[in-house]
Amino acid sequence: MQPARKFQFSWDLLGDIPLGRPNLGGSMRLEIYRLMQLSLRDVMEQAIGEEETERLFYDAGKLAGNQFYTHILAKKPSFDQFAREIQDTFKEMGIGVVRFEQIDLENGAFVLTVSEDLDCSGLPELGYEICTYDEGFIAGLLENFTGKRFIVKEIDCWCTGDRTCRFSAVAAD
Amino acid sequence: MEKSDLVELRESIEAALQSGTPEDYASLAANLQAVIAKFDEDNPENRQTDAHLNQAIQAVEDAWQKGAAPADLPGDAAQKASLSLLIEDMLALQSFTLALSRGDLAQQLRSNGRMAGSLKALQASLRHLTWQTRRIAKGDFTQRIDFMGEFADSFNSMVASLDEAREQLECQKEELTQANARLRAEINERREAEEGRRLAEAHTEVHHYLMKMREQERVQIARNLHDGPIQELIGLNFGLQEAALLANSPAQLAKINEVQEALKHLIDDLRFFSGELRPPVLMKFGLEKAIRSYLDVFLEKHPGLRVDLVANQDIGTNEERITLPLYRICQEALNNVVRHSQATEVTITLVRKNGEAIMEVKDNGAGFSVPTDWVELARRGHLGLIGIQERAEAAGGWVEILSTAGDGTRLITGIPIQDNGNPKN
Repeated sequence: MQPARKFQFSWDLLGDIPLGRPNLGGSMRLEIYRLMQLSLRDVMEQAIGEEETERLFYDAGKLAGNQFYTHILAKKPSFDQFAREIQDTFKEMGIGVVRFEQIDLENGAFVLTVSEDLDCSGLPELGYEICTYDEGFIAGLLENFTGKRFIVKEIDCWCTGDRTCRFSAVAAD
Repeated sequence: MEKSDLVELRESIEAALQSGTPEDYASLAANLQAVIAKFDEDNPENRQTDAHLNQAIQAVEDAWQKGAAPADLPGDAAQKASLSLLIEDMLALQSFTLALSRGDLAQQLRSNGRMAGSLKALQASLRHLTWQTRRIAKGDFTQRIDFMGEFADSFNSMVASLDEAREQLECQKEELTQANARLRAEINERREAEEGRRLAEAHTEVHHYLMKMREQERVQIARNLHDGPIQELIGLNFGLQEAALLANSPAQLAKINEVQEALKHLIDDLRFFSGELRPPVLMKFGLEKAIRSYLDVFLEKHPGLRVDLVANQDIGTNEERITLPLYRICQEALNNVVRHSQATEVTITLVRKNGEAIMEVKDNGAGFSVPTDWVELARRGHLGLIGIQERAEAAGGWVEILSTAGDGTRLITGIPIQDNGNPKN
């Protein structure tokens, strides 16, 4: 069926990578990923302002988290197993080294860190957190597993001089 | 003072702020002192600035070494504010590090920079370890640590070992559970077997008691026969002898002789029955001789039958609990042969084998179809065989009958012998 919008996301849009890149494969240099994200961020900020850009990056991350949960992660029966799978998959795909610090399922409160983060690790110290896309991504994962809405906030970031990115996730409802 | 001196001083400050190490702070202090000295040489009029710098250095040293914030800072407002922020960061780092060293992972460090970032990364790792350890404590042995160097390897090895030990314990627990179940089943089986054995013993005891009572009754009847009717008949015979002397005619004499002859037969029959009821030689001479003695009389009554007794091996006991049942079974078996089999030859074999006294009575008669159980035998009217079975069981023994129609019959019975001659139960 034809999508209602021109770029409505579907997993199929990622394409057949082995077919399309038989020699270069599925990997690329990290700078290129960051080049795309930061240049996009630049022009968006100029066009719609910082706040709206942040909001859109969060939403885009959340959409990606939803899709990642649906298409990549196996459905696990317990949160411990789910957490373990996130750690394994993030490491295997080179997204980052995830470490859980606190899991309070009953009250919907989580703290986790991502080291060697795809988005920010190694960036210059800017004095503010920039992993907005990660925040949305984590929110998407947690919402899919728990069925609750989550607000995720980065509280430590490489760009504020920290060595690992720390995220706090709190159930919104 | 040269520009290069100031550049060097700035680099020292940056290095100290970034790394936060004592060496860099010492280097910073030395550079400051050198710059001040040179500044003093070039500008002797600026003693005030010199004093401020010395105070600033002292304040930084106090904060670093003693963890104390000075009450008053030198310089103008901007310099005081910068110095105050630097000292606050240093004190915050110290407080955070102290909390970490005491295992307090709940503190928050608001400072930034490499030193603060490294400490936060350490705190994050320790918090993650705490979380993972809790998961392991709850039984999740899939937890592993990545990228923490030698500690990660050791931790992961420890978890793998714990998991292996847990699996071994689970296996051992399962084996113990199974062994326990097997033991319980075995105990139940033994208990049931013991119960069955007790019932069988009680059954045997009752049979034995009944047989004993029957034998006592037989002895009493035999004694009564011998002391009463037989003696009276003998007396009558003497009377008839006297009557024969008084006979008036040959016809009377012939009649008296005829009655006398009938009386003798009757006395013989009664003696035979009395003998059957109480085997007089069994206790004294043993089973073989008792059977031979019985056969002497039995064959007189059944002259068309040939009976061989084969007793090459002594059965090794004269215990009546064993010999009497075998004697009675032999009697009953011979009666069955005469009544039902139309046999012309019988062979009786006595042996001792595997701790049992075994007797076989084999005939060449008509044979019969042996029922599958004794109840069926009773239904067909083979009550003699039921009696044989009861006698054998009462002595703790067994009976087997092998027969097919037209091919004779073999009756085999065995009674266990204990070393002291008592039957095994």
